[in-house]
Amino acid sequence: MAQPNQANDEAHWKKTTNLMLTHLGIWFFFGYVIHMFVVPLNKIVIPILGFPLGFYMAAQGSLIVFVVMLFVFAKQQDKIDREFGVAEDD
Amino acid sequence: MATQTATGTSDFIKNLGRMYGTYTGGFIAFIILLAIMEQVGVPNKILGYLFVFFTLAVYAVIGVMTRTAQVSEYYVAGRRVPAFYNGMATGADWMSAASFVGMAGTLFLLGYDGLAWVLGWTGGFVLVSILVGPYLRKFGAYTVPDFMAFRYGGNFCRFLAVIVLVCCSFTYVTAQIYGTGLIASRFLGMNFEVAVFVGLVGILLCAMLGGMRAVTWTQIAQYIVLIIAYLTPIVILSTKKFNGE
Repeated sequence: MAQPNQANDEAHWKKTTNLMLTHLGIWFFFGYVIHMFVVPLNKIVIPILGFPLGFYMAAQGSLIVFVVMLFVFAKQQDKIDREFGVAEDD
Repeated sequence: MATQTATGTSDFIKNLGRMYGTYTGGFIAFIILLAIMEQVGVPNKILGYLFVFFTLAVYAVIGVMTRTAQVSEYYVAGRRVPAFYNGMATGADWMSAASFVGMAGTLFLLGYDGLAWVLGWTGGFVLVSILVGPYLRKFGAYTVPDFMAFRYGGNFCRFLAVIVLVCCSFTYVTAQIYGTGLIASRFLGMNFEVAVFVGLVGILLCAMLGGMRAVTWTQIAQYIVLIIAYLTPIVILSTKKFNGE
């Protein structure tokens, strides 16, 4: 366990903010940007499933990305917390 | 006394798997029993009653078992619910009456545009987990307005948070209570207007005794019911439809 001090806190917060902004970017892309291009994307049809891509992204694709993001974010944030000694005890 | 409570709780957490395992087994046995009764010729109405009363009984038992007077138990279940079970409870919230009544209707009416609802619903979890959840927990706040007031200072901020919260809850609870009323009126055979309040009283009784603690443990029980109720028809229908292939 590292001693709590200001430099440590600031480094921790910097990493946390970076992680947060990255995830917000991905979230914005899959939440909004990709659905703005639904009409051109619909021209592409996913093989096997046979859904138009634009529609599929709203119905399932983005949701899958969101769920994966939740897991990845929890893992990455936990790693940062552990690195700076501010993680919760298991 | 304090140590006694602590060991009691950790025993409780340790036994969770066994408790919910037994519960799932019991639920499946109950379904099989209902299936046998249906084959024997018991009318559907009675089967419906049995099913509703079984579920209500389970929730009532959990509600009474988890009643608490401690503030942290009441609001945040003592912050001790294991992640896996908390995920199940959250999943049950996602699939609640608002989803399968409200969302099915929205998608049916609006088609593609209705998917915005689904996206917001799921994407919201990402926002919560990135921006609010971890800090709410680290600050030790009980509610989001509490946390906002603490973080940004002042009651104006708290007020704004309350307004946002009420707007969100209102839309959600409308669909939720409508669903409750529909289900209660269908199974208990009473007017919709009366059934809404009967459903509300049921919810109040379950939630009031144990707060978040009771709600979390009943939601986990509900998750098991929901997951079986969602998957069984899908499997049966898809094998029927695609049997030849």
